[in-house]
Amino acid sequence: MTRVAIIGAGMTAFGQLWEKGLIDLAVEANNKALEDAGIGRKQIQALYCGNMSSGMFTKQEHVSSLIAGASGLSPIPSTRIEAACASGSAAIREGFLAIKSGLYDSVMVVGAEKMTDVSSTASTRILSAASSQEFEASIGATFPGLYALLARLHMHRFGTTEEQLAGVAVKNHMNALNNPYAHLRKKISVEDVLRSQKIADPIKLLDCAPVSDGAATVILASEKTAKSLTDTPVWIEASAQASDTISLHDRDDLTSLNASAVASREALRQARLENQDIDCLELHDCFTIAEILAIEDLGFVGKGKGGKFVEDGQTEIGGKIPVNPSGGLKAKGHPIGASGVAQAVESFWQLRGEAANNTNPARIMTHNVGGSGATAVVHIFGR
Amino acid sequence: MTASIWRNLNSFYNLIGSKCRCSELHFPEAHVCRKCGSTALTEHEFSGKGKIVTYTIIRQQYNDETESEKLMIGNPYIIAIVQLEEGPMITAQISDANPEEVTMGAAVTSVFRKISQDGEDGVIKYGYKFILA
Ligand SMILES: [Zn+2]
Repeated sequence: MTRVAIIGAGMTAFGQLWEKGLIDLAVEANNKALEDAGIGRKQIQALYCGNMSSGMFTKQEHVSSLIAGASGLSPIPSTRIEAACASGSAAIREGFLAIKSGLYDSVMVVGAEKMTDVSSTASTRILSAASSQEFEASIGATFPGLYALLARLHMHRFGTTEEQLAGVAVKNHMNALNNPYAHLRKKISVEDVLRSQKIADPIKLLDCAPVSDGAATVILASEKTAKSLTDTPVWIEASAQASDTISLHDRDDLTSLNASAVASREALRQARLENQDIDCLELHDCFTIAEILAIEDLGFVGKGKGGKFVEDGQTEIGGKIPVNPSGGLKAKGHPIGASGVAQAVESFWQLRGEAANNTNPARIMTHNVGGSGATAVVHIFGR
Repeated sequence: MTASIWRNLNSFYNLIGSKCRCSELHFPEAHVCRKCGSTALTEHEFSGKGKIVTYTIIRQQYNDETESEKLMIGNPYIIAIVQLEEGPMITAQISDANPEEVTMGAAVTSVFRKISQDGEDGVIKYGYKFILA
């Protein structure tokens, strides 16, 4: 089977982009990626669109064909992939599989979300549709609430502190300072996080990723096509996805997201690598506790030791394993369906030495979570 | 809305879940046993006694002014994952308590309460909440 490469990438700035609609965002990212790859529209054989909830955010469904048409790509097949906050990475995986199968030589994957046309209360409610509507959301368990349940148990069982959680936000804000695409380019302190508005104890406002608009696009190609178009392809060395129960309360262990652990192990197995072979992580930090859970679940630090690992600076650029040099969801922004694709865009730039905070990696792992861990997608990218 | 409430009456009103022939218990009612994959499940009513595994105090606004359905909650309100004495866990509001009274591991017991109301004269959804025992 052919190897699969990323041959071009592009994204919009993330933020509250009132002047741009969902389609404007997707087309902008698509055009940038096409130009970056140096590939013609006619060579793109299929489009995969990661989007969580265009229907509830903008009352527009069927956005796959809408984006294809607006991007000048009709009549190629265009398919929307929804896996809550992991929609973007799940879409990349579908594109990867289509090329791997030999069916296509080059496809486009776009992730896009327009979130700020609705009130913040409405967006909280829309996001809660990624949890169990009947047995979590409808009784009042918001998304910050669900992650707060995980955070309190982690603190109770392992002694993880609110200061350690805040440390994740401080680092990711610091990383985003240099990133021209980031939503929150503002240096913050641990005290700022601790003093920010309480959302769902122990989670505070600055523990949360912002509500953002944005889109990101990658163009995937077979080995033969990639080599004909570029001397510096970025290879997808592994693509793994796992699921879990949608409700937290149905899981055996609430100090871990098992789907993350399963997907990570499977990705490392596919690439024939071990954790120590990974140089950099772009992972799913929708809340600060999520980054601590992820570095543990992905196998980079022992269970319960994530808080101390962050406190010791091991996840900073220059630390043992740089985590979220882009600023992560926390500071780069979290337009739900775009986030997973934006992680791949960052990886592409990191591996080509074009990222804002270049960590000069040979291999990057990305990790994208849907909901409170009911989906996890892990990719490994290499030069 | 009405039909979706009616479908889950067993779970919401009577804390009824499922018991598999392998003895695994489920809440809410399950179609397939998560442990052995069997579809031979029968109704099982839980006692409503349990303990708090983890909890949070939610201070965000939950009810959206543009929607008629309103959740019956305090400000702030408490959400917990409760482990029932029979084993399964359940997410629920902790009612009739101040946030500072709630602790990890606290014993709780289920009560039957108004969960939400859809409009002034609209459908009222009843169901389980928990109180400190
Ligand atoms: Zn069974």
